[in-house]
Amino acid sequence: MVRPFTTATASGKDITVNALNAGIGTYNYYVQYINKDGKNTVSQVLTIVVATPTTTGVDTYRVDFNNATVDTTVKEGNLDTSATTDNKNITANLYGVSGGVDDELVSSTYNSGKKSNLYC
Amino acid sequence: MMNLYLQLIIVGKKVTYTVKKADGTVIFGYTGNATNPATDTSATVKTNAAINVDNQTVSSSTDLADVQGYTLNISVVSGGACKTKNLDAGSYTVIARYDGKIYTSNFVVTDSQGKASVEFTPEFTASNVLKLSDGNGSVKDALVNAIKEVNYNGNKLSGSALYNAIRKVEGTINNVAGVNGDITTATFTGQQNFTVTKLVVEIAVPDTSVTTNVEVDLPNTVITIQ
Repeated sequence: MVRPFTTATASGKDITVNALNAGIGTYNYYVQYINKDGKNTVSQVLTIVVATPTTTGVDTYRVDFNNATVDTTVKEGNLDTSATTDNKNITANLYGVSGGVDDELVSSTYNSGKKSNLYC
Repeated sequence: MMNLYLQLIIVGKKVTYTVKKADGTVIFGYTGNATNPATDTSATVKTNAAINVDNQTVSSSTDLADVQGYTLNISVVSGGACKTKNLDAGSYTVIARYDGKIYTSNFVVTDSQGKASVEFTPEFTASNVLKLSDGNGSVKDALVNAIKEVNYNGNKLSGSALYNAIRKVEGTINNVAGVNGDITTATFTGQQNFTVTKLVVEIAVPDTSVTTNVEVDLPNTVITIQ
């Protein structure tokens, strides 16, 4: 069976690549930004690597951040409203990594990806 | 015949977190070096109001259990109408101890907030002297009387508004132990000299609806109280 490719969509400043169910491999997207004057101001290759964990379990772990760089400058456009939600937070978690791929989040139900089943 | 199916789910091991500044200072979490903190019979922890694990409250310096869990939460900037920066700019290391091994990674905090400027009164500038009897019985009073205005991108503070906005003063008071310490609430009962090295005020940020603490760009400021 041939697995589907990744799919990419653009909205505003964002480009979203959906790799769900995509086949293993490297996908290159050639991204161009054409401004209102018809000039090409940005050309860049966006590379997406789709991989899958090994079947032998977790090899190692890594600390994952939701934000690895935070700008705390209070100014218009960055922390400029009174809403308490307009703040800057970092969360970190530990991920089990298998074959170079994030396999599973270490959580209260995590046990190196293994659960024990007893049958009577 | 009846088939009995029993699923046994083993509760996961917890991660022990430590957060360090670039100079190695622990600002949160387990302070020791053991790979497995549970084996550290004298394990202590560093508390930090802006950091927690799984939203747990760390009750004491020996509360190892509450720096262990799964998700490390760091509030870098908090507050509503006044934004408070809980971490200084710089690089930080998160150390995760799990299952007898240590894993680390870094995050970076940047801050490009400018400083406020200051203008002293002509009377003070002429002599750098203030009279104790003129209501200069404290560091804050003396600064307010010496300063004409503090200006942050067009937003200005002076007089009582400046007094109420002063959040921190660092410096050295003659004949008082400690150099470049926190002298925000210091008072005087007689003749003194003091040097201000850092002044922080809470001030409105232009084009926003919030305030934040901003450092004032001070020249070398020695104030004599007579």
